[in-house]
Amino acid sequence: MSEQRAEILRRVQQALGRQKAPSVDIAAADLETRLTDNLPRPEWNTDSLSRFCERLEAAAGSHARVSSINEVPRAVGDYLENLETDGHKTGLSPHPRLTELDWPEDLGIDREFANARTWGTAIAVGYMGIAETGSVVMPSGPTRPTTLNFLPDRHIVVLAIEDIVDYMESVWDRLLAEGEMPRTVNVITGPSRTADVEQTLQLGAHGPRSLHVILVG
Amino acid sequence: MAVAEADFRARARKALSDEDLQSALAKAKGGFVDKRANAILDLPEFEALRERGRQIKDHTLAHLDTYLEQFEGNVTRQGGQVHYALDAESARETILGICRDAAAKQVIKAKTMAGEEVGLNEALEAEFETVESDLGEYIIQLAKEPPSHIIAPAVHKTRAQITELFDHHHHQKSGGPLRETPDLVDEARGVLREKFLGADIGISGANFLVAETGTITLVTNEGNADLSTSLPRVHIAIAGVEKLVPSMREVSSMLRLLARSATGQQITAYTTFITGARRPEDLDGPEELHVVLIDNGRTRMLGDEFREMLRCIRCGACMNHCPVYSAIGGHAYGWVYPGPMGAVLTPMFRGLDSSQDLPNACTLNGRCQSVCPVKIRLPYLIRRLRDQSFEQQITGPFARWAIRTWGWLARRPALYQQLTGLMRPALRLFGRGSARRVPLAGAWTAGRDFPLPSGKGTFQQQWREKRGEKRT
Amino acid sequence: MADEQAPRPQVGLFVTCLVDFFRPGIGFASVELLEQAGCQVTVPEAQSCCGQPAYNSGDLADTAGLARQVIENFAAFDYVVAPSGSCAGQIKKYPDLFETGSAWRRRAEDLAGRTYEILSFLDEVMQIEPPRSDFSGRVTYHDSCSGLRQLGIKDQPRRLLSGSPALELNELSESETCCGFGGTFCVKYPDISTRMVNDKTDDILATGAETVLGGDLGCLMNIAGRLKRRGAPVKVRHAVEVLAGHTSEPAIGDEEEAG
Repeated sequence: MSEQRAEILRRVQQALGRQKAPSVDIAAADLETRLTDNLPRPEWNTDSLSRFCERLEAAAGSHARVSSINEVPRAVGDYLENLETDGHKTGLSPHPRLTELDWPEDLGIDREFANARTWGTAIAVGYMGIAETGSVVMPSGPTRPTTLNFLPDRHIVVLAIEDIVDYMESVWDRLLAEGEMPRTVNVITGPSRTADVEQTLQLGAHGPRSLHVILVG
Repeated sequence: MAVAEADFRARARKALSDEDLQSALAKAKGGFVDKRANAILDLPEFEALRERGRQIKDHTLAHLDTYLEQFEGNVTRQGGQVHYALDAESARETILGICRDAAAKQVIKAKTMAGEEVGLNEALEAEFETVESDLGEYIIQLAKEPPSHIIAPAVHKTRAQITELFDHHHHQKSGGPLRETPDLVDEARGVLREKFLGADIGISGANFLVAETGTITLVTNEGNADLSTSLPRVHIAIAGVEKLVPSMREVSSMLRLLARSATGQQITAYTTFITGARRPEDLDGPEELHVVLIDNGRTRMLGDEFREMLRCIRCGACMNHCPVYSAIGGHAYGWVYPGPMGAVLTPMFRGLDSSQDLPNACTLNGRCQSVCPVKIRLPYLIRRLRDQSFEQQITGPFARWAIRTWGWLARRPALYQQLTGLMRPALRLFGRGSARRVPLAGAWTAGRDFPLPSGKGTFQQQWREKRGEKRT
Repeated sequence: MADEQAPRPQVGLFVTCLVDFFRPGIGFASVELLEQAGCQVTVPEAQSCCGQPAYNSGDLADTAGLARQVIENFAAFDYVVAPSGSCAGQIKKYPDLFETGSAWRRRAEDLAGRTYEILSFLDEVMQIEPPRSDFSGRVTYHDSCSGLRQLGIKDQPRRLLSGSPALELNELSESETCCGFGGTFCVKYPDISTRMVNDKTDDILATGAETVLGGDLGCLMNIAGRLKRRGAPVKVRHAVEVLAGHTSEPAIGDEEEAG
């Protein structure tokens, strides 16, 4: 095992004509001289929120807007009202911003993460949104378990408008400023989909069949 | 997977007369091309982005030792393990060893081309219940076929064939009515959900490896890679050493290129960044993370003129825009990498002597290079393989003799012109305007008529006459 | 443009082996257009082929031999012009055949810098007005791959053809897709090549064009051969034939008038 490691590194260095790897700083300096453009990225002439909503819709996601976090339970109720939930429960991600809210009885909210595999709908808190692509950013951790992003049929993400940034790069800037990369960061753009049957787009392949973002602010 | 490059011509012929395949290819053809074209409209500086992609990959390859060590250090620090495999066999053994150590019974796989490359499925299936979770991969696993496209592995299957496969494997029946796409997708979702929940091991590839953070990047639209890497106890990622990029900033640029080039999206539904194993405070996620980095011929390419092929990010744009691929599909290429990128990689990884048709079965029309997100000079590399083939006498003796004889003649213009001057009137005996058959031109006339020489003589003969010059 | 006292540009015509053998009329139309544009045209006798068949078959020694021949015989001209994007493109690749810093490399680079495909030469270097012609009818245009992608030839022929008011251009639906010729490809892999040219002729027929124009005889012979085999009455010509008004000559693969 470690022999293969040594051999691969030896071959890499032989191919590159050296015996010692340059430092990360030397490498970074080389990269800087190579990248002379102004970081080509999509641009848009609307505000960030409009771009976010437009891209989210283009990815078959939906959204609603409330002015304060306290209105989220009502917005969830409105969203679920006309949907066929087949008696499956709606569960809360263990995030204090959600668990501290006043949830009406008739929504039958389940707060027990251990039951997550039976939930039809999961409600989670988005860490950030990306306007460029209409994506929600979900880093893993005790308040944001990864599997909740994928197991339920319906995924509801509560996102503060102030947390919407223009580009993905800003997500890494903030995450790395706060500490290490979490185990997983899911950047989610619309519901699950596949085109593997005759290149026909079909939603709800393995992950959620719908993604609904409740924008707060 | 068995290597069968040598039968390229026979497979291509069969593909051309396979009606199901042709109908599937016809459905796919325009879709990929149009979607990519639409997706880059949103990014007017796409050409500058391609140049950036090329620079990022070239830089990384030139500092691969630095970034390998940095990546390994960060994965380890975050509770993961990095393994190295020189070749396909040691990659399989490493992965089987991890599965055995975990006392695994069930393995769920997300699509990995590196896994295909090392023949991982056959090895796993011999010991563990192994299920592919990407819908396309699942379909071809049921059909016991290799993928025919690197991002749409079942692109060659029609809905009727998929109906038949699902009826047979899920319901033990056959001959049922054609089923609708939502019905088929839903059924696979149900079957595979059980597999996700029951698996001990999840295996994925990696679209990018980020050195600065030790992060594995995965892109999918189905969410299958995410379930595969978050539900089982153990996650194994297999990737070529060339998948590295320096930092999260660069990976962001590369993702813009990949999504647009591959599926014509601005971003895939799920773009996932995995760094290490489950943390103590996490409520879910695998306890173990293993990253298996494979060489399998890559370090050799790093040291020669084929290094730029290591820039490849496996988007499939080259095959989507290749008229040969769209005529014969992926299976004709005989190994896991089809199309233009396969015409370079297969000879690199498997040897040119068993795959010399691949670099030849190309018109060098250059469209692949013009859409490649990292600007790989695919036609140049393909032509360089022809040079090697000629040099190493892999090109057959008759072909070599023919081309050398012609070359000898062409370097003697006077003799050349005498001969062509004599051939013209002879050829014109075979028809008027064009001929259905001409001796020694059977390959041409198999599918088209042969336009015969027009006018009163070669251009040079007539030019001399016109200028009143005398032949010397 | 040059004033009247300026010497006329000396142009060496690289005829190309296909034009020389199969369709000399393209050569004559080219000479005429170049002379009309004010060039002094010479056709060096010592020429055969640019070397593509050898180059694309991996025979670098013979390619280099042919390259030296072309470099020598076309040394004296201000410009070298070929009625083919792929042959002009091949001459532009000659420098790669010789060692960096060598004398041949320098000469090859010099030649590459002076070499042009005819339509782009007339449009961009000589900057001629689109020639007036009374050619009439529906046409479509096949962009050959070497010209299109290596030399960037796309708008030039269309600009030149715009001088024919009665010419109606209907573009192909997949104008950037290869026709399946590919030099030796078409005889090495005839099944695949036939399929590709069949797709191309489907697209041509769908435009309703009476004539297909293009800038490379190899592709045009491939397309004409397939159209003939399908019994489709679409005519195939090199664009210079229309621009020079040489359309009384039968189209590629068509029967010649008796006598």
